Amino acid sequence: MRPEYSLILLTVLAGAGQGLFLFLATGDMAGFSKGSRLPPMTTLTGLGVALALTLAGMAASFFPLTHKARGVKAINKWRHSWLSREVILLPVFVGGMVFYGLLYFIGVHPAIIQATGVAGIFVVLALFISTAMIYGHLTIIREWGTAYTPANFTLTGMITGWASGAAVYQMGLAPVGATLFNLRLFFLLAVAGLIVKLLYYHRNSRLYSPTTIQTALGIGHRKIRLMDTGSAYPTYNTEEYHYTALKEKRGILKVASIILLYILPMAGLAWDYMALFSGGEGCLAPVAAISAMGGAFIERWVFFVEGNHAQNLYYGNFPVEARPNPILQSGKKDAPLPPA
Amino acid sequence: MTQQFALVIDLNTCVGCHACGAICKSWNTSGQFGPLTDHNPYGKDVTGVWFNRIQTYEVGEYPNVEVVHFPKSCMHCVDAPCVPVCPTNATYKREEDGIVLVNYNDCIGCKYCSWACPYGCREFDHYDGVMKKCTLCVDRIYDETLPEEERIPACVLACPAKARSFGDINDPESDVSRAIRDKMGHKLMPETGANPANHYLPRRKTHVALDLDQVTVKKQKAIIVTRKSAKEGETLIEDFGIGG
Ligand code: SF4
Ligand code: SF4
Ligand code: SF4
Repeated sequence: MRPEYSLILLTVLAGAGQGLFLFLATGDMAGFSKGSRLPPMTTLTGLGVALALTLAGMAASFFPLTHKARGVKAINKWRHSWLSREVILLPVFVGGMVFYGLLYFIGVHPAIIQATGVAGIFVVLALFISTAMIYGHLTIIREWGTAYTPANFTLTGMITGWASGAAVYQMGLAPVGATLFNLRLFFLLAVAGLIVKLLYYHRNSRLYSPTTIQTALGIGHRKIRLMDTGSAYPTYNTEEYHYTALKEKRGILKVASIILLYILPMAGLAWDYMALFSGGEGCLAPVAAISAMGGAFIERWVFFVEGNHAQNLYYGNFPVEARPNPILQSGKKDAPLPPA
Repeated sequence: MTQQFALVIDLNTCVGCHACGAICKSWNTSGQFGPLTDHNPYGKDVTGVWFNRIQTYEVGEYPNVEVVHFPKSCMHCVDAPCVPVCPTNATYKREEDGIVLVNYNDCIGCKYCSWACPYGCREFDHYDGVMKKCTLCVDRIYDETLPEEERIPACVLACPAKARSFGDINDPESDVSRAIRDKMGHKLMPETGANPANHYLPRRKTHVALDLDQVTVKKQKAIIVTRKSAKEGETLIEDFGIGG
């Protein structure tokens, strides 16, 4: 699929904003439970950063819309459309975050803040799922239509959010206990995110499409060759669903995104963790945050361009060779071959 | 059961002339659902919106090949995947006749519906900023100012090979239902669950199976006038027959 840059910006930036909110809310709770409250300014700064990230993502996705004034109509179909749900939950999240920040600023009883934080966590998780399921439920694009998609979107948002949060904590001189707690969570998230990503790539490398040129045309012959697309120039069908730029370099980009999104932030924050643990001060969290963000952008770009829509079959743009039929494959071992 | 209008396209007779695509563009550009904007129409890299596109495929291996022309427009799916994804309700399926339409006044141009359509039958108009697609000529089929025989989609009317027909597939006695039954009409990509209303009639060859031993043919005379002899004003008469 053609990468829609507005959607890459939205999913990465708003995802990081959501992740950062989760970081701050859980960090705050960890602070409570350890009896050492965070300096309110730290959390407020973090909330400001999360708000800025989310608003930037929302703006990036809103301005390319051709009919912005009708944007509000997009809440109409919340019962059916994941996109509609996302459009509803985004402002709820932003409003909730502002409310949470206000409670913090006024300094109400910690239990109220904590309860609001818990509600916010649910909104954030629902928003992650809604955003990801826009792509995750499109089974016609086999690479996207999998449970890995929401898992990956959620974990990537949390990793970028956590790395940014660690940077905010570092600059805001948060208590060591809360920082260490959150760094430990970061390692868990990063490892989980990396595993999900690798499994996702592994799944897609051996993906089988039940839709073939035979089912697309309803003609059962093995040999079908496209002779004429019916148009001398590119059309919506060949431009929107098929993207060939950097085709050879996508493997390298995947490796780069894995290093930037998981490996480098883990290494940087591990260094900080050791430093804090031995009574010193960490300094690598901002680097980890920037690296994670860069990695997330590359990862999301690859996610978009690697989606293969079945309509590409009509235009000879569908990767047929890479998709062995699992029934025939397993037939080589012990399962019976389908009748000839 | 309510009506479900659809096109039935006979691949056995389609000659790939692109008349349906051209008339579709012509009709709809000046109709209620137009224009079908072109970009750079007289320059390089022409692109534009079409509701109906025709591809051509070679089936088989030389020398046993057939060329299949394949017109494709919106299938007006019974379980249209493009409908539930639209956040604004701009894309909707009409209760009364099953036609799937886009309300241009509600579309925000998010393109989500075009990703959900399995068939690539929606096209984004960059000029108007809205999604467009085949309307099954809803502005023709109910138009009482047109003569009754012309109240059918423009593409059906234009097809010189009579490869396209239009009707209600929910009515078992309609011409389209009969054609689907009698000529083994099929749907595209049945595995996607979109349940398209449009059907395609496959290539067919009719052979009569006869056992020559059981056939008796009376010796008969045939008159063959060759072109050459006709020119010369002669008539060539030959005896010719089977089994005699
Ligand atoms: S063919 Fe595509 S655009 Fe038409 S009804 Fe089906 S899913 Fe919708
Ligand atoms: S492009 Fe228009 S019709 Fe399609 S899903 Fe978006 S709002 Fe609906
Ligand atoms: S039914 Fe009308 S809109 Fe649809 S392809 Fe035919 S001419 Fe075009």
